[in-house]
Formats: sequence, C-alpha cells, structure tokens
Amino acid sequence: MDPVIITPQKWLEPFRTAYDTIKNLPVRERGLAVYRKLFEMGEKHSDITEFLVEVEQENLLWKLCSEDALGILDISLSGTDPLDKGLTYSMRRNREAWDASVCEADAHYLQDLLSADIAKTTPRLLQPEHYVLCLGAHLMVYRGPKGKEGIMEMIATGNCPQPAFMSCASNMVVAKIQARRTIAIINRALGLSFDDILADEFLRCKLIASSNVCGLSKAYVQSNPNLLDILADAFRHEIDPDLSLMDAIQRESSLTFGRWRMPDDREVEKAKAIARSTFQDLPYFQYEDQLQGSKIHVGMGEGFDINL
Amino acid sequence: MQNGLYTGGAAAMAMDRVYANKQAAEEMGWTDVAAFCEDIIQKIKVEPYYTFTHYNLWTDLQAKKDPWLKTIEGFHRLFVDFMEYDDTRSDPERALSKMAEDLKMLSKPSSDFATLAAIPSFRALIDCSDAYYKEFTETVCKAVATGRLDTIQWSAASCQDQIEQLWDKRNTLLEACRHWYSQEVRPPCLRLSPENADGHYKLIAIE
Repeated sequence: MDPVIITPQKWLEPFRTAYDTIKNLPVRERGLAVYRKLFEMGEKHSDITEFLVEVEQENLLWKLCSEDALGILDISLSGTDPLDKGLTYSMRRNREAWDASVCEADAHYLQDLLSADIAKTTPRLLQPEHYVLCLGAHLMVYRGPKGKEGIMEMIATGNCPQPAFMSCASNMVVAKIQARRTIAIINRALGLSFDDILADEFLRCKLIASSNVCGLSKAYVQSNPNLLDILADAFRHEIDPDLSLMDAIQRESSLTFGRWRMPDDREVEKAKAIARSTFQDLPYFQYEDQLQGSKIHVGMGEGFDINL
Repeated sequence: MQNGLYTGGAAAMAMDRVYANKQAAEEMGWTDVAAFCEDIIQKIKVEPYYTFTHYNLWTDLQAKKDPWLKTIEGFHRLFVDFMEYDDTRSDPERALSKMAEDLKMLSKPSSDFATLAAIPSFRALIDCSDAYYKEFTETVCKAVATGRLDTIQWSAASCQDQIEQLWDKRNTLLEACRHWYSQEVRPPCLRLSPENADGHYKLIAIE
C-alpha cells in the first residue's frame, strides 16, 4: 500500500474550516490575519516538513489564539473609560498575559495566576468608589429637591405646605449628619479628605448621580454641568462647618450655579447619539455588535474563552 | 499512532498544561489544587492515554480552584456589605441577610471568617486602614456570633428648634430663595471620558 502523502494544503484543511467560521467578523481581524499568513505559507511550500518548520519558527499556531485574543481585547478596551481602573483592570491584565504568552501552557499558567489576581484586585479597586457613592447620595439629598432645593422652591413660589416643608427640612438635617459621618468614615478608612476626593478625576465624578450612555462607561449623562461645584460648595460651606438651616438657605443669594433637573428620556437618547457620534472612530463602536455576549472563543478545538 | 509518537506529543502538551496549573497553584498557596495537579501528572506518566480517557480533567481541575476564588469573592462582598451598613447603620436586617449569604461562600483555606480575616493575604484584599479593618472584622464576627447588628435611628429631632425656626421665619428668606429661583435651570449635559488615564473628563451640552 502506498504511503499517504500529506501536503501543506491537506494539513491546513481544518484551519480553513475554522477560518470560514470567523472570516465575516472584522472584530477578529488580528486573528484572521494569522490564518491568512498560515495559508500563504502553505501555498509557498510543497514539502510538509519544511512548511511545519517555518510554521513553528514563526509560532503561528499559537498566534492564531494570541493575536485573536489581543485584537478582541484592544477593541473592547477602546470602549471603556480609561480612568475606571476597576472596570478595565481585568481586560488590561488579560491583555498583558496574552501578550506575554508564547505557548498554550504559558497562557494557562498566566491565566491561572491572573484569575486569582483579578478576583483579588478588581473589587479592591472598586472599594473607594463605594464610599464616595454613599457620600454623594447624602449630598444629593441635602442639596436636592427633597432637601434644600425643595425648601427654596416652596418659599420662592409661595406654594409652601407645612408637611412638605418640614419633610424637606428634616431630610436636610439628617442628610447633613449622615454626610458628616460618611466623610469621617472615608477619612478613617482610606485617609482621604473631601479635597482629596475632589482632586481625583475619577472619584469626584462618583459624587454625582450620572448614568453611562455609551459603550463600556465611555460617556455619562448628568444634570447641571455645575452639579459637582454645587455639591462641593454645600459640603465646604454648609455641611462641614455645620451651618444652621437658616444660614444655609440665606447664603444661597450669593451663588449663581443655576438650578438643576434630572435628564428626561429624550435628552438621554440625544446624549447617546452625541456620544456615539463623538466616539464613532474608536474600534469598539465599529464592532460593538460583534462583541455582544460575555465571552468569545479563540483558537482551534478547546482553545480559550476571552471573557469580556 | 502505533509507535506512540502522537500519543506522547499530546500527553506532553497536557502535562505542560497541568505543570503550569500546578506551579500557579503552589505560588498562590492553593495546596489541594497543587496536589490534584501532581496526581494528574503522575497518572499521565504511567498512562499517556490518561488525558484522552479522563474527559473531565479540566472541568475537575477548575472545580478544585473554584472554592478558592469563591472565598475571595465572598470576603470582598462581606466588606462591601459592611461598608454599606456602616454608612448609615439604618438597615441591619438587610446587612445581616447579605452577610449570611456571603459567609456561605467562604471555604478555602477555612470557612471561618475570623480565621480568614487574620491571614495577611486576606487583609490585603481590603483597601482600608488597619483601624477600619478592625471595625470590619469585629462587626462581622459580632454578626456571626449574635445574629445582630447595631442600629442608628436617624432623626431630625435634635434640630427640631432649627426646623421650626426655619418655618416661622420662612418669609425672611424670600429674597434669597427668589434670587435662586430666578436663576436659569441648566440643562443636563454629557460627560465624555478621556483618551487615556492621564486625561480629564469633558462636559458638553446635549442640545
């Protein structure tokens, strides 16, 4: 019986099948480029041994996995807020591990270490944000329509039912005490003062209520652009010095921050459209529909799952 | 196939992977995971076909790791629940219920919260001062031991005179309030994230 001669073309057949399943997904372009390189190499050689040696020298079989993964992670990262370390940590660390891996065992080793590191570090990075969100909630009650703004509006318009007035005044009192307690906890736990929070570009934005409207926390819609100044002013000049209710409302006459209101549905939709148009050139927004789902499988056979 | 070359190659690759898992487990102190890997290595050495016949090998390995990862997650959750509770101390029942769920996640290297809290690698999971960490651990230990947590009854009663004064003198605040009310209502805006971690957010109008 004649021996079966395996040509590079024949050997590459399963790879063509794998290629065909992802060839219409531009989000996988980095991986697809490696497949194409492999096929070109197959065309160049007629001898299977010479072909496999060159494939090995270029480490192409591993790059089918790693380049695909790196491409997907880079695209995903482009849709994130780079200041949000808690959100981006796992993606950035995963990218580093893929970049450093030269073979499957290497990747398993690094991914193993990484899974524990991500489990340990991501929540730790999110912890300071939790404290600041709590403080922000108290400040919003103190200064907002259920607190100081509510009282001022009732007085200004003359529509001043006593129960509603008393309720807003009570809310102001309680929110002030709670905010003072929370900043004391933040100081005791993290060693951060209110000024430290304001000096942190990411943390200070957690003081105000806002919602993500684009990608993976790429853009947020918030009320009054001066809201942070309004809350900071209330903290510095009323809450921290423990100003009385009378004095807190009296001092308002010198301020010109403007009133605020929450965004309505139409404004949220418009904000989404503006954000999308602003970031349309970023890879994430070109391939967003292909990144749906929590994981993408890379490599042949067992391969790896890229968690997004 | 008959000369064992393919089997040997596949076995060697599987062995590399198990070795990698073992090394990672040893570095993290996950002793039972490392022992499980060593057992697999020995089995592959004796029987190269082991990786083909033991279909659940990687699933079983992951199952060994999961309790360690779950414990870390549970410990983190306990701290977040403590933080939320400690902020106002107004809903101890909710905090107790959440903590009870989190405590069930603890198992490796111990299911006892106090034991874990004393381990340096678990202390390192929490971003806070030593003093606050002590408050956290004492509070959770108390919850575990007694099933109870302290409550603060928030009330404006201590400032009732201020509230009444505000109501009585509300007309004297008319000018300040009208001034505020005459200000424009600023429309909501969009906050765009920067290009890199050294950048700043940018506010733009929605209209």
